Amino acid sequence: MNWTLRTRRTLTKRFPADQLLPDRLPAYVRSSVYLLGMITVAALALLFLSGIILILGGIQWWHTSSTGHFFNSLHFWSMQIFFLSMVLHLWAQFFMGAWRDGRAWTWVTGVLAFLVSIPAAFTGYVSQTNFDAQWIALSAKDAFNSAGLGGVFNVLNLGQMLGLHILFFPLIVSLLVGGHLLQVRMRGVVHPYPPDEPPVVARPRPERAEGGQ
Amino acid sequence: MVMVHLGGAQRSLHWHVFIITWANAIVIALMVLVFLIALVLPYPGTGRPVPPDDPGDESGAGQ
Repeated sequence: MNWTLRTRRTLTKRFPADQLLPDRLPAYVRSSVYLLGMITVAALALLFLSGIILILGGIQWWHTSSTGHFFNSLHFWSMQIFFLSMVLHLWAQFFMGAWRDGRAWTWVTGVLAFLVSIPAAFTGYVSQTNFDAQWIALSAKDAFNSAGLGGVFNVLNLGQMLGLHILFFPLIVSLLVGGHLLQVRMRGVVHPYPPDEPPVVARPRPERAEGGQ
Repeated sequence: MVMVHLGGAQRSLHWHVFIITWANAIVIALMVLVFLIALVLPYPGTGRPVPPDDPGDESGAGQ
């Protein structure tokens, strides 16, 4: 058996088409709260699109032209929606216990995507090339320097921040979100907690023997 | 004319040891509100009749 056949068989077995592209959802998916993850992905797509246009136009363009201002604002508000919907998605999945029934990696990739999104947004803030960016960078440099990271992560270095923002962090976020989506499609939406499950209560402490220490 | 002046000094909500700017408090309150609305609103398409299986689908799709 050659490696292409082996790979094809493994992929077909692990990622069946009806799971990767399902046309039906479980009956318990009845609330709009299940849309929050997809809203996050849509905002991320808009972030990529507006970000590519911004970097093609360049710094002067996004500061001076009205079209540049539009895409600058689109990028900013996409980021606001991205974080807002991602946090609400996190709340929803936390209360659903979305890590259950073999979904640990779904949870882990989601949490990692959230954590990596924070420096991705931060490097964007300090790459704006305006007074806001200067204020943020000058305030943040002390924190990074005191943590001993200033030598490798210099927030006053625009080239480094912009490079990290448009290449490194988007790549990591894309990989994590891609892995997260793949996990969601492989495992499906988590079942609700069974209604007859007894509540978890603390066990009573055993009685101490008389006179014992 | 602007709806909100963003150039002035920020105002904070102060309760015992907790200090939060009004801007952040309002954003968090709005997030909680959006979350509650999302919980109550139905998923789009809920109640719509389920279409029959795709005859070309060999896997007997559907979850």
